[in-house]
Amino acid sequence: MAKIKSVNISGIRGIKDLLPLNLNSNSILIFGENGSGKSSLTDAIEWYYSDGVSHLISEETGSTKGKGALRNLFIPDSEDAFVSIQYTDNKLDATKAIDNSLKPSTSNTTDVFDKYMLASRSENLILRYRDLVKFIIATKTEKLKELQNIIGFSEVADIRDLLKKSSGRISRGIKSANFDNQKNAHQSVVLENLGQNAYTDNQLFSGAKKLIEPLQLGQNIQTYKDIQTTLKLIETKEDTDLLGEISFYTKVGENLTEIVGNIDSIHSNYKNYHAVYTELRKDPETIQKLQLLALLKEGQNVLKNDVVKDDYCPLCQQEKNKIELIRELNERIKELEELEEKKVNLDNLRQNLEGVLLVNTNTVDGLLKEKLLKEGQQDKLRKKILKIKTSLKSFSDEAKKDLVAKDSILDFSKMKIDKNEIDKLTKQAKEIAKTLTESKSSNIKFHIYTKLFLADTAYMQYKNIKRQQEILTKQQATFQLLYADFIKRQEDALNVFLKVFSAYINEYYTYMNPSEKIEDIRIIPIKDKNDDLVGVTIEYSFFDETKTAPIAYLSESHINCLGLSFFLASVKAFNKQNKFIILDDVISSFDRSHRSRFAKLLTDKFGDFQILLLTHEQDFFELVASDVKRKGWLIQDFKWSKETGVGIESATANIREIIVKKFEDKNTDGLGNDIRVYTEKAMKEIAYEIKAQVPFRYNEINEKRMAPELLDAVQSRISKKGNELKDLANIPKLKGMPIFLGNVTSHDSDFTEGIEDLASIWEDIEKTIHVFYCDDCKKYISIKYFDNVQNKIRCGCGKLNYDWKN
Amino acid sequence: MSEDIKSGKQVLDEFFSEIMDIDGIDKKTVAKLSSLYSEGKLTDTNIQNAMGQLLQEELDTTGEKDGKN
Repeated sequence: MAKIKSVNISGIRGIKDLLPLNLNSNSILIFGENGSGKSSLTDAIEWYYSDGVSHLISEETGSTKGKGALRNLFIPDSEDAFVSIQYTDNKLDATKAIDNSLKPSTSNTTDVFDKYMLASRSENLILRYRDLVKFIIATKTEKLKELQNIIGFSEVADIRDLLKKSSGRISRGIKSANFDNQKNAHQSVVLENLGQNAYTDNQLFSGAKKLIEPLQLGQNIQTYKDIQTTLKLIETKEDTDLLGEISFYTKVGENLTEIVGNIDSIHSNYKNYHAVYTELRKDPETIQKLQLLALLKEGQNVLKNDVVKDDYCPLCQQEKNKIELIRELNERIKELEELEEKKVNLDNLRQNLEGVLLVNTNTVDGLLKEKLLKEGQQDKLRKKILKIKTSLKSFSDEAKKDLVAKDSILDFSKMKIDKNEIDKLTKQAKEIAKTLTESKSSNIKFHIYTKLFLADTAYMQYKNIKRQQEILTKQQATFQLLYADFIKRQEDALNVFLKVFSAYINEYYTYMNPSEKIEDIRIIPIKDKNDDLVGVTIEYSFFDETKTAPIAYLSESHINCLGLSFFLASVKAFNKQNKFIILDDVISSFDRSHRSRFAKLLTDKFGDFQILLLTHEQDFFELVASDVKRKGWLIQDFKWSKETGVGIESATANIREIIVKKFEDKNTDGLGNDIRVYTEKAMKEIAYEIKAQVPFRYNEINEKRMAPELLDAVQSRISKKGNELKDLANIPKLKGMPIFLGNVTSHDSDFTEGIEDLASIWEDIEKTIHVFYCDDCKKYISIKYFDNVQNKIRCGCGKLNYDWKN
Repeated sequence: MSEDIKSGKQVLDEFFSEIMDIDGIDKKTVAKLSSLYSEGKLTDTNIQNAMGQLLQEELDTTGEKDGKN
């Protein structure tokens, strides 16, 4: 898993000139006042991995994914802004640049890097304060969505929905088609002409055989081909028109039979739809509530996306705690969710109605395309069929009316399709077909031909409908089986995840909140009445009682702890490529005890991770700095200046590297100052470890100790403890160096000796510091390691040890 | 932890690799779905089209068979 060796950023957000961060895979604590540009580092790394900066998208830049605000305003147009990251695995080293036209480019074009970047996109690398409580305050559905995003389950949820949707759609299609009704209509034609029903091929063939017996053709009918051959044999060309007319009326009769069979279904679907529609409109407030629901959801988004930063309501401008406001919004949305469910139910009923209307409208349209109706020979019949179409359309028009429209849909009593009239028309059409057939009954050949032709056509249509019904039923059953199997798999996988994930959240939360009455935190799935997974919620024991909705009971500090625990659990569970995380100002609302435990949690439970911990809070910085420094973390201050943008006040390790490099390059520019700053930092650490005393000062003024003062304090301390260390350290020699002579004034003006002088001073300083600092264990000698048997002060491994009078 | 947890992709891959073994399914329907999944084209529209196509293919096959008889 990758850790960062170094990051170099230039021209991104507040960083104008090069900002080098040499981490060498170590964790780092970065302090910077508000506006010092700490977040520029986070933004730069977020852009590097995701090609966008989330908080810039919502606030400023819209479609450019935040890139429009990414480049530092003061860098020349000709200059590329860039982020360069070197990793523990150098195959991943890359520089990503963005030019003035916002076109990004990446130096590493290998497959290894592409795969790494792709996988990294789904990892949890950055947490900002603004995102801390997103999950905790989200609704149950959003929580599920968020979790599914983290574990890559979004696609699983999408496919589950697809399977369900497909099954529902086919099921609705089968219902709307009313296949049984269609089959009955065709069978009635078969019965009419064959004198018997034909549900199988054999029944058709035996019926056909009986039908043609009077013709004594000696023709056997055992196949469809036999029927076709027989029809050809007895076909009489001169009666084609009459046959066409008989076929037409037969079709009219058949189709109208289908429609008659569907009328009850249309009426009952409309009745159901009307009842729910009317119920929803009964309460005039419902309409307003539906409109309000949209507004509340938008308000929820505004607050979650941090568009409003301070504690006030963006609508009424009244002062209001943000979390409290979100809680109220969630409650009001929850109240209206029931209403939304009812609306979804209404939509389903409307779809059912529209489905059955569509099938019948298509049937009517099919009839209207019949040659005999188009040619205007059957005007009366055409008008009657058009009337059916108008009736169907009136239902469709009502179904299209919006729930919040001014006028309600028409009452069921006013929405009847005249079944009797259509039934009458059906009978008339059948009668005409029969009369026309009988009109040539003396022509036995024609009479039998017509009957066989109509029976055969109707049977083939019956068979086709039956086959369609079978195939669609099979498809629908398959989707249903797949869905059942799929949700079981999804639930099993989600339950395993939730169980283990909850254990981590619980562990981290209780670590930060020991001996409190909140325990056994669990994320549990929520199902609706149809047993469908619709969300997840956080459940926990509070004074031994099971509670949900953390924001109802927990303080802001505790809610933030929960948010942090959630993020850290996600990191542990799902970060597979990267062993580093960035925590940007995440403890702002923590009280002192939570801050301390949070720092301990990071070093204890995430000791194997590289953590980039950014804070603008001096108290927290001081509190954590002493703890994490002992764990090998680097410490840095960010400062912002008009000339260079964000810059770093270098930590000891870093500044040493800079000094060495300057000697290599024979670059004396600022070298004297670097050496002095380095010595001051080292002496502060030595003074701290050996408990050398300096006069009391308040807070940050305490940090402003000049080298002479620190050297005095260390000299004074070691002089009292024995000659061995005093002689080796030779502090007076350093104190006499030109670089340390003078006072605060000299601190502000650089030392300007030649490179040889500086090299000589550097050598002596290094020699002194190495009397206190062990290169093997990377630790200073310290009171912590005092050997009270031999009365020696030692480094961590004991390689350095000096007499130390107790 | 991560050893016990299946990623979304794992759940989907497993489902589609074992989908044919589910009792009572129509193999042709499932074959169409599997093929759409492996091509990364499993969308609502594509499922609708595939099912419509399958219906037509099966009806045509029945029709052809009837024609030969």
